[in-house]
Amino acid sequence: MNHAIPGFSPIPATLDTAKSPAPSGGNAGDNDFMSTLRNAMDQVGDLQSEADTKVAQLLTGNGQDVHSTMIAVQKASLAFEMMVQVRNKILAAYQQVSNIPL
Amino acid sequence: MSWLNTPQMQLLEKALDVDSMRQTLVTTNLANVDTPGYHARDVDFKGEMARAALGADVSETSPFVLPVPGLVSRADGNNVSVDRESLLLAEVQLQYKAATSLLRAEFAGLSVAIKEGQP
Amino acid sequence: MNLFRVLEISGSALLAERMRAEINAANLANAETTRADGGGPYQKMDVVFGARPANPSGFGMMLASFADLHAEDVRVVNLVKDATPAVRRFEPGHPDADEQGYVSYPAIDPGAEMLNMMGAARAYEINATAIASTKNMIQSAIAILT
Repeated sequence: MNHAIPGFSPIPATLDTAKSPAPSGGNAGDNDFMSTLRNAMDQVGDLQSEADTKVAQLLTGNGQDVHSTMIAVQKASLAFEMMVQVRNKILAAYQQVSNIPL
Repeated sequence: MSWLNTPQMQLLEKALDVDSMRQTLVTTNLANVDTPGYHARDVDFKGEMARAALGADVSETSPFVLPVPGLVSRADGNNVSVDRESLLLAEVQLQYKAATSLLRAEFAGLSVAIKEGQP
Repeated sequence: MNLFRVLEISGSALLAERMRAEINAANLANAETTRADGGGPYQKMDVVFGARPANPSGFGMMLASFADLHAEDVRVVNLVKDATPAVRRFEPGHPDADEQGYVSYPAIDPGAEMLNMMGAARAYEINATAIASTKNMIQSAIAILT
């Protein structure tokens, strides 16, 4: 799946491939984090394209409701915010773990 | 993403839809206040909202547009009551505004929750 | 149900009512005109309003939005010349008098025309109020984003 979202830096590759069985230190939670993040990114993509479609229809006078359009745009924006937060949490957790002296 | 589609949100969105429908009809009634033979129409607002609250999937083509009972026809066959429509105009506008404000508050609340209070 | 479309409906009413008022004003101004273009006394004009039919058929019905089905513009569909015969008054000295000394005047009742104009003005006003109301709603919707 293409997880690239414009203007948004991708997740470091090392973090992305941390799907292997947990090494010492209890990284078993990575799977859940990653799938949460992937779900979030997919849904953000869907919501954003839906919002874009509605905005285009509104602006070209194709009978789209004003309120439906605004709501779609707002939901896409919130989903994006959520995704950013999830990503930040994962990065923070990864950095914490990688700072543990071995 | 059910957190983006709560029952409260769905109800508010439905209220906006029905208010829009009502505004269309009220405006049409007022525009045709001098059209011979024209009869005023309205949406069954309470019925629509009740159905929405019960979770029925109300599509665009389903709203009940009814002739308005209790109106008197004038000599040219027109029965639009300017008083009634003017009152509805104010009512619909306020309801719409209330729903949009509530939605905005809900979205703002979600935003704060996502960012955990940080800007 | 696009609210912008709703604005158009009110706009059509403003146009129609204004035309009606203009015709009434013309009738009033010419209530005593004995010699109009084309000879003879001025003939009173009336507007006929009609709602634009909004009934798409067949496949169009499935694609039609709520507004397509129920929003009806209003427009002036006809401008009719009143067929009431002219009022004849006995004025032998008048330049437009006929052989018997009668002058034909338009069958216009100024009081009725005034009432008509007031009706048009009131309808114009209420549709302008409707526009303000719809505009307010659109602004509320936009405010969802702020």
